[in-house]
Amino acid sequence: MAAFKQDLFRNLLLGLRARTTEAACPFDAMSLQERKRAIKCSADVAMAAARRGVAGAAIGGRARWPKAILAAAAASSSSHSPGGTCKVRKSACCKRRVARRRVDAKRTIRGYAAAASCDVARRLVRRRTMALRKVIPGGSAAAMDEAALLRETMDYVVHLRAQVDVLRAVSAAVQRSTFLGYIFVLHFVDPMKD
Amino acid sequence: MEGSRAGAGDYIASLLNSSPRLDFGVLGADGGGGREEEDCLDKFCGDPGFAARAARLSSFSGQRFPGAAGLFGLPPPVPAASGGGGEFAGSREASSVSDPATVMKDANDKKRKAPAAAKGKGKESSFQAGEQKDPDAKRCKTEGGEGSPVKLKSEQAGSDSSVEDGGQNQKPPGKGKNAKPVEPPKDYVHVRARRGQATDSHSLAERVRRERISQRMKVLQDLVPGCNKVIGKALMLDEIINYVQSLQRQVEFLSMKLATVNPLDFSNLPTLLQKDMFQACGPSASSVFSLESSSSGFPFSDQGDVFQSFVPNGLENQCGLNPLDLALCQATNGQYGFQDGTAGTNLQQRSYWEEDLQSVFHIDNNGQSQENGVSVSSQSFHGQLQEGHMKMEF
Repeated sequence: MAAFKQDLFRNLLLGLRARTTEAACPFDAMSLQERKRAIKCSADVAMAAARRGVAGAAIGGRARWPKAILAAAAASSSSHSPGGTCKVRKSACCKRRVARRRVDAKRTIRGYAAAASCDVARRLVRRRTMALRKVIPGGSAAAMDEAALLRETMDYVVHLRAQVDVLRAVSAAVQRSTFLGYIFVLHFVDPMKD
Repeated sequence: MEGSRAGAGDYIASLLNSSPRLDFGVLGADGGGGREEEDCLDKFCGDPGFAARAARLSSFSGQRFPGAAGLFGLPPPVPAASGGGGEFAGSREASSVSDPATVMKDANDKKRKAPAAAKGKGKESSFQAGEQKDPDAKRCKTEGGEGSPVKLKSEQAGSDSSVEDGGQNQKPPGKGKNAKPVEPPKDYVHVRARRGQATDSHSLAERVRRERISQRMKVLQDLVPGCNKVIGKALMLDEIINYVQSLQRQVEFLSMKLATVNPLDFSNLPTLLQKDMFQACGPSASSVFSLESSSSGFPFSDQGDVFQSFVPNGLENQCGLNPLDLALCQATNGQYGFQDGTAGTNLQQRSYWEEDLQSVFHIDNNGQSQENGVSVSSQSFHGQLQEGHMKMEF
């Protein structure tokens, strides 16, 4: 896991560096929200790339979410126009709508007679499974059965936790260094002035 | 490095195949190379029901049991619910005890497939011995009252009687079965039909699928904190979704935090996180990072003097220096050889910043404290450091 964190960190740096040196939208010119989005995107891409890198060497390395993240990032970056992102969103929405219609049809056909506890439970589970699919990257795209979805979730949770750790360490370190910088400046500025 | 590289990807694999140690011979997990966990899982899921039953049997009033166990030449089984340390031992006993039970079943069952059951039992029981009852409960719930509780009980009764009856006769074959290595698994899933359950392919496949799902839910239960109390698929999924969403929110929050940093210097960061990088791998990572940053060329010639002036002087300076040094040490882990005018060649692999902290506080060796990471973060202090004596009173 530590190797993954290192890879993540390295990728994050590379990504951020690439973004800042990119002439199109320099970091300083962006608003706070845009910067946040850029950093988050870099972090996600870094995580996905690191996962793929490790997976190449490892046995149990089948995971779909990295591909999904990278695909989404590529799509959003290649087409900065709203058209690209809209396409992606539309397909997802359509799938969701279709699924909902099917579920509703079942409900009306059966009527309220068969509201057995098992059915209710099943419906709840199904609803939550769909919600989980939305949350996990790549979950709604592929035709994954429940077992595969759970496996993706496991993988994603582990690596997401690592990403959070890395980001936390980075932000703490950055904060420390800037804090010290300020202390220095304050200290030297004040006594000098008479 | 290669070994640790495999860590993340194998992490999940290791979570799922948690018992390569059992010598029922199996799993492609350790050596298998190409064998994916799916196959292992399938084999594993082949017959976890036996493990569950065995656990139940063993956790029964030990009255019947020690007798039966004794017949098999086994020590009285540890109740599977003891979990934890007893888990492994319990699993061995549970599996080996249930083996003769399966021998009994073989005679009774209509379908008889490969001894994936042995593996399955071993794995499942070692997996989470404490929660043997739960999957049954879950199964009962998810099967939606198809009368499965009744079926399970009948199986239970069946197996009890079979254990008792056949105990004496079946002792040698049971042991033989135990000792026999598992046959190499085939491409398709081997499932044994349970007593009293439908044996057509559809329901068997259903059962396998269900077992797989429940096994993964168990693993997730361990992963997600606070899931231990929750029982039931819907609630568990709820918890999982909440956890994932909270992690994603944390990522957003942290990235917002990073976004607020105004002069975002990317050259700083590798140096600042040396300690992080060191946790797993040795100094090799540091050498990479220090090369990276030192190649950016620190203007050490002038700073060398400055830092040297800090170190050996009177107490005042030293005390004043401490907090800054502390921070710098933390930042860089003292990995940078302090370059007295020569750019970045000292990659002395000092150990870790505890040592540096001590050195800073005691200011023992001139060498060590000089080696203080003049991290690039000090570049921002560069201008200020040019001053002569700095009395820093924090």
